Amino acid sequence: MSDSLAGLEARSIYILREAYKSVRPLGMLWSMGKDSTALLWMVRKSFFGKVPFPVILLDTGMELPEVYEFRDRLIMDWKLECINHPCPPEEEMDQSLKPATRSAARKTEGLKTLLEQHQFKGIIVGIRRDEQGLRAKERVFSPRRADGSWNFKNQPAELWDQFQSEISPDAHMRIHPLLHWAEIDVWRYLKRENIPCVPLYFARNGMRYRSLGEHNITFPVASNAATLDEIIAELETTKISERAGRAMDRESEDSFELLRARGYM
Amino acid sequence: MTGEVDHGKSTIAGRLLHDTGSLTEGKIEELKEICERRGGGQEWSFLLDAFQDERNLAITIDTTQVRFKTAKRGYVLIDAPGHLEFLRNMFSGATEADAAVLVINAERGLQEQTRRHAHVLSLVGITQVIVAVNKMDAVGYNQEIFEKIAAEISKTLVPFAIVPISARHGEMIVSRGENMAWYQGPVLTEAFDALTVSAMLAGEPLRFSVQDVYRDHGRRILVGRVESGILKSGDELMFAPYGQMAKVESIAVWPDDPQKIEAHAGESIGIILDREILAERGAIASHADNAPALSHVLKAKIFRLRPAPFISDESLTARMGTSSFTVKTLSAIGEDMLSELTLRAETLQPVDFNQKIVLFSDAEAVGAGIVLGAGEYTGASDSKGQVFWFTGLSGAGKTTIAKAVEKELLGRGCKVHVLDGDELRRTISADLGFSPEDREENIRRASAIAARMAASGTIVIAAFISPSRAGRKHAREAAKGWFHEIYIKADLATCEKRDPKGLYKKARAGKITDFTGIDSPYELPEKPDLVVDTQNGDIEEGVQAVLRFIEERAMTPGIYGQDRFRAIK
Repeated sequence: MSDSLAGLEARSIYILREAYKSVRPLGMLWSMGKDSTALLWMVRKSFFGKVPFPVILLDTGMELPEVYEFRDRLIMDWKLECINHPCPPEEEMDQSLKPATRSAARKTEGLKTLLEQHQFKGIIVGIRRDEQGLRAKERVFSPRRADGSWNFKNQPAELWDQFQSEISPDAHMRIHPLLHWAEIDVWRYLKRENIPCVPLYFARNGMRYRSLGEHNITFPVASNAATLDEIIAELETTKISERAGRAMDRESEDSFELLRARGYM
Repeated sequence: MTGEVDHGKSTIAGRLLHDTGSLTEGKIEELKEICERRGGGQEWSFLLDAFQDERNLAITIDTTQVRFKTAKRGYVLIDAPGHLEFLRNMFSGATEADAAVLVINAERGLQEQTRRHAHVLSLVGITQVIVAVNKMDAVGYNQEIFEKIAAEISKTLVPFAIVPISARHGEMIVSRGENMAWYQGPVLTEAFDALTVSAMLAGEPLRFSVQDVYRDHGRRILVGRVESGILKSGDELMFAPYGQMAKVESIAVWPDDPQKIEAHAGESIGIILDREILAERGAIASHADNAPALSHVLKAKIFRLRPAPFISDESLTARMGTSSFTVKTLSAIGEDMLSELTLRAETLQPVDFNQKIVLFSDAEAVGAGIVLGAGEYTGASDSKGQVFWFTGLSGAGKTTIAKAVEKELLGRGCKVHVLDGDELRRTISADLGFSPEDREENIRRASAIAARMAASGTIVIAAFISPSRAGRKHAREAAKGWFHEIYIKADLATCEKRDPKGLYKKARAGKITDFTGIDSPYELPEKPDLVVDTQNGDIEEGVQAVLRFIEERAMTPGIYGQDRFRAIK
């Protein structure tokens, strides 16, 4: 491999093609964030310019306006088949969850109704191991039970890219082609490949979004990085966690585990 | 990061993150808060053991990956669980690693699980293993205890370095501390920095594994990964297992790139060939002069991932690269979790020495390891001559299958002979007609010849309509039990439609008489040893079924190791 980005990309393409070969029907979650947009670019590379499955926004109606604008632009430019799937309202969530966690749970419930309506067997998700301790324990092909939950205490073996693709009826497979990427790799890749991204990532008035989420539970962090190069330089030295602006991570020790065990991304 | 449970792997990992300054802001405060709330001491392992169950039970359940940096370079650390029941998780982690740390608790010394982990590391091809003897503080930093463990582990593997450490107190991880002045070697991070990163397999022969076939704007693109070597535009490639040749017209990537004329190990690409060949998922492309061996039989060193040992005659699914095929265990020799399995593949497989193989049973990975040898069924010196008697209507495919099987077996150096009805009629039985009596006499002669040839060690394939049960019974008795009746099955309508020699037409026209199926009866076999249905199945499947049948009864597998690996092409 000529450089490490090429190696990371080659593995992601291999995983995407494995998923397309062995799991159908397939859909991909696209939050319009940097990770899933970089992944969408790799989908186009894998299938020679086409995106052979729908991309899905689990829409809480709470994304920032710039995010919706970006979505509409890319749907046009990249000729995407996009499913804009509304999530159930917060009142229907488990009221014992803390506020931000409860709000995030809407996506999980939205995914469940999406699976019911569209009968997807495989969902591609652009999560990375270095984002969060629980995501660090994920498999590339990660089976979910019929109720969407993650049996993380009994994950299948994953040896030398031999992924488990058999899925029991009613269950579905999560496919994670970006697990092995780090945050800084994604930014270097966006730059190298000249991939567009939502302007909110770039600093304005000393603040920028490191991680994009709904505007009620995600907050910008202090930064002066206003260009791709400045973001990469910032990440080379920063001690701030990527998810520092995500309220739900801080609510309790197990808030993220509660979410993920029930089917969160 | 491997080793027995409770030897401190996650603690070392947590310590590494902290001591190399790789933790994000607020992480230490968060950790302290969690530990205080839980009412215990500082648990470095919580930095990795993210599950509530892992923290509550103070164990690692599943593999995790974290990143840290030294002044020299960045690392991804894969923390593996130590428990026996989580061994498949440890194995999953190990297949992604370039080098390993094997942790041994100084208080307890080498455990069975330590040795198992050492075996897994060796099996997945990790040659650089740093041994960390942890909890030195608990043995009073005793040099003798360290040296005893060092000597013992060196019998199991060749360590890259052996470092005495105390994860709890952060000694010999990044800084040396003050309690082990007797140790002059590198601290853990210095040992990491001395590791060499494995180069991609550029010098190896080309192997391109086909993952899928796409059609795009009228182009047929074979997508896959270059597993080793270099693939260039213009290369003549051979596709195993069928052996077709085709030239690489171009390497397809998106966005289009005419400059892309070669691809190296690790790259996921597409190739467009100068002609359409039957190549599907599982095919391996190589250069013709350096192709993989082709074999039905392979020997593999397998680490077991389930409690029950492998037994012979077990049916499993093997996966190698993008290829997936059914295998049967011919023999299984095992000790603890390691087994040496001889496997019989249902279809011919391209095989390379040291190739990775994973065995599945009911969609669950039950074993994984590497290929040690391949081989083929040959009529070795201890082979038994036997009679394989084909019966069936004229036009059922007896001679076609017999000749194809003979060709394959001759190619493997077997002593094999086809005794064909038509040929016998022209020679030895030229004096006979087709009355029931003459037919019996013809079969009597054929039976005697077949039996004599089998007794001399030849595999005899006898292809005769042999319509009467009595005649076939006679043939069985003549061969004294070294006899197998194979019914080549196709009904009259099918055979008459095929009519390769025009005989049915003649019989219908009354130009020949006593023709089986028309004016002479065919007595269906009551209990044939094998039925090959050429009416509903195709001939090639029939040939394979007969080959398997003969191999299992009259042949022995010869297995070759690395040195002779290429000799069996």
